[in-house]
Amino acid sequence: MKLLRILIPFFAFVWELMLPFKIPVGYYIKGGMVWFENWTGSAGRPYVCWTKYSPSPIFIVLVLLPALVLLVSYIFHRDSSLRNLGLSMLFSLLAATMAPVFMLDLSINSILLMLVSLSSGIVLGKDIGDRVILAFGGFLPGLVFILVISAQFHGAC
Amino acid sequence: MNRLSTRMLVVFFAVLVLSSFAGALSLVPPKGHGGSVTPAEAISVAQMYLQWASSNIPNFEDWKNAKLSRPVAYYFPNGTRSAYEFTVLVNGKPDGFILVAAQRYMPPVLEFGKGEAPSRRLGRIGTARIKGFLRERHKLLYYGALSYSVELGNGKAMDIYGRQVPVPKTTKLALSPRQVASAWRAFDTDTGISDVGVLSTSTLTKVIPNVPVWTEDSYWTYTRGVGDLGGASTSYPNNVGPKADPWNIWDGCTPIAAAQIIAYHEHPEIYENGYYTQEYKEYMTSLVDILHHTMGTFDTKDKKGWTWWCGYPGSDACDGIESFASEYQRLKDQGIVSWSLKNNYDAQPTCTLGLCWEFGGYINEDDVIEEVNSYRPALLQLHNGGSAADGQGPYGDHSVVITGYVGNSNTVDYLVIHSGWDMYDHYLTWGNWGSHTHLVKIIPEKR
Repeated sequence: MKLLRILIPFFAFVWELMLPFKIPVGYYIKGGMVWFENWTGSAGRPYVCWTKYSPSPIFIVLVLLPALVLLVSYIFHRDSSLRNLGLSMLFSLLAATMAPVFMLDLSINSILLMLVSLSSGIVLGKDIGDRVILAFGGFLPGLVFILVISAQFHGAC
Repeated sequence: MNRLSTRMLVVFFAVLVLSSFAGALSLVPPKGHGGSVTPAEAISVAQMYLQWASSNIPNFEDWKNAKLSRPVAYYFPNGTRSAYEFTVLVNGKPDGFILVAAQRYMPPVLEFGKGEAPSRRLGRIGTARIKGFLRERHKLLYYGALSYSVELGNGKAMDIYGRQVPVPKTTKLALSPRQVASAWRAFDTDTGISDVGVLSTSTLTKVIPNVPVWTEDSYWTYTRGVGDLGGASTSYPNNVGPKADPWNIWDGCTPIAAAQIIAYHEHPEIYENGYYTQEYKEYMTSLVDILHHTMGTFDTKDKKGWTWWCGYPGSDACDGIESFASEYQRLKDQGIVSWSLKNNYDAQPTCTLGLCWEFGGYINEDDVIEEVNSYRPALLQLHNGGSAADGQGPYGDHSVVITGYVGNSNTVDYLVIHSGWDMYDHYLTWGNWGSHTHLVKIIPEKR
């Protein structure tokens, strides 16, 4: 079970890394163009191109999936370590998913994620080793998710 | 207390009077360095500068045996002569210009570069836009860096973008009298130009000549524009060329910018024949359509015309440029395009590990100078770009072509860009953009 607790965060890491590329961006980014038909070219611009992070409910469920799988496993196996890891991951991923809605800043979101992961680890862990595993288990997939999402706005139109 | 106040007042006035003397003295031009410059003196300055530039500035070696045209005079708004412009002729063909001051309180050489002479550009635009335009009738104005314009009367002028602008009532030139005097001395003494430091205050305008300019302005002018239309039921590659595209009417700024660079390396002669020709339209729309495809530019309603920066795990700007040649050859084999293909293209972004998409990038003046001096227009990926000097913009997250710069031999004050939004040059102040802005150097490699 201990090996599983170490491996699951890595599987979650891969899942969060792949997810934004495997589903259409429309599930989590809203955007569009507003153009000015009377633009003459002398000043200003012909259009405004905008994008905004806006996760759909399906997307949020998919992001939280690793944590949900752990919590469902807990129901069947009644192993508290699965529950604690599931909760730690749930809080961290929820923070990683929702924070960019309010502020799309990589450093601020990373710090917020770190605080949430550490708090979850401290509250849910039994000893120092357990706390580190729980904090790490939530932080790693959350961080990769934030990194991938923040980069989804790097392009030109 | 009263005596102390009186003494302080006396000291204060003494300082005031002495400092005004000092100020006045510093404004007196050195002996022999006042007054205006005759055309003959201006020719002599231009000839000396020609020789100096040919042996001191990279890529100006061909000015060694160049000749100068007759001077064209520019004026201040008050009617005083401000400058003489000389077109540099290499083997009888224009290869840049030198702008020499017409007043000795200005630096001897005001601007120079390899681009089109400003008077020629003003003449071209003036003929197209001003009814009854005649160089003899309309005075050319110059009252500071990049202020070239044609006087229209009633306090109005037409600038180098063809816009009507107000003529300022007063102009103020921020010049150091000491530096100006030293610079004139270097020309007046018969020893030639030895003090390069003095001359570094001159503004250098370096523009790669004949970089094709293009926009897909059908987007906002609809059927009146130069680009192709969108929303057709045809599928790629049957749309390649002026035919309507299956995607949005706006093809995307990155394919448009890259198409201008590739056209410059492949077939500049098509542009030199004029950008209004059918062949030019066919060629440019073909390049844009192919690059739209190879770059994986978005067509969804959320991201119309959006192209990823380099380093994206799927198709992106660099992938599109690097796979352009093979895709073009494939279409040529199918008879969809007919122009020859000379080069493969290597795209080199200035980003850590090439991952612009993840980490953004950086931009250095040295890179811009090197690319322009090597006659390689570069792709500028603007992040949160500001407005150009003429008010176009703000550009936001936009791709443009760097065709030149204004600065001196190691600093850049303005970038000369093709914005992709119209068919003119624009000047973007150095640094007027966000921190992730970067270059993509596009290196042609002979096939």
